[in-house]
Amino acid sequence: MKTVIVHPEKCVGCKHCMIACAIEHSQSKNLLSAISEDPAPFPRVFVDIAHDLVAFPSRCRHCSPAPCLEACPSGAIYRDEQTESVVIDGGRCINCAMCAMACPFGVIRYQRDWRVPSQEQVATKCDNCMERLQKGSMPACVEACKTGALEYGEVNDLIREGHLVAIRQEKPPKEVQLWRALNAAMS
Amino acid sequence: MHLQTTVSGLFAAGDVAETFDVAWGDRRLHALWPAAVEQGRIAGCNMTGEGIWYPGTIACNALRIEDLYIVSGGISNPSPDEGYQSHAYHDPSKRIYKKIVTKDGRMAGMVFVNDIASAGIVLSMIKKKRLLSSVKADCLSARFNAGQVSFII
Repeated sequence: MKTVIVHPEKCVGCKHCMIACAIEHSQSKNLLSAISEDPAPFPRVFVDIAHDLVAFPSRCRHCSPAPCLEACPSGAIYRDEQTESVVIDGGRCINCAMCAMACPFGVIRYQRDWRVPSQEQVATKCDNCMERLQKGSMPACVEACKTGALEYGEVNDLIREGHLVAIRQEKPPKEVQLWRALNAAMS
Repeated sequence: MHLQTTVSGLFAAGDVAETFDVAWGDRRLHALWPAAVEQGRIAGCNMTGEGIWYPGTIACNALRIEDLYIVSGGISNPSPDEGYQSHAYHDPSKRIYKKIVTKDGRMAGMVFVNDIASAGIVLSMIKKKRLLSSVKADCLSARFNAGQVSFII
């Protein structure tokens, strides 16, 4: 199964992934025209400051079993068989807030989405860029990430590589270390 | 607790099953859809001999009335003199109210109104009985996120 793995230690908090995500889920898929759209495009990935000024990109993990999928009483949340992503069908969402209650990572938001004809607020979250995956490319946030904090690939390979990095005791790149030092100096 | 009744080979799940409540520490009825689905899955697995342990759940529910979102869970309104402490944040201009209830340094209950994005993180902390000292941030802040909860990273 292919998925996105997050390496928070490599994240510098540039929020490129958030912009790329909002553009990918806009009507025009273009930054200049997307900013004037109604409803305004919004990101499904969130970069927040965790402890010690380290940025943390929070994104749907597409868990299995997924608590949001189990909590949804209207059956709007389902698992896509091809990509194994947990996806919300906005047309069937009754906006009951049960999925936000169930998600242990807090990545579900209630927004107006242009794909939903009623234009009411519905639950929205990362859909793993299913349209891009079906075309054979990677999710927009991974493509936008310049530091390698978001990585897309076969889950077992990525975990094995993570263990090897831990064994080799690699440090973050020099640019990242410099950025962290600057942040610490300014605070 | 494997969701097996006192009769061997007979399993129970959903509205008829009295299960362990993590917040209260005793057996209670959780007539809720998410609890029923989770119990049904685990009971079904255990019928086939998987032997999955069910840790119990907490009473929690979510409600939306027009643009008002409410999520509550655990012991949200404790009776006084039982050692519970309440911490609340109220912002009338944004119509936000947040309250967490703690006991012995652990999260026991919560009520979030309108700003419910981090409600799931707090509820999972109640379910897992995490020590508040393991969290290096203000749980009532609007910027509270999964990265600040060290057990998730």
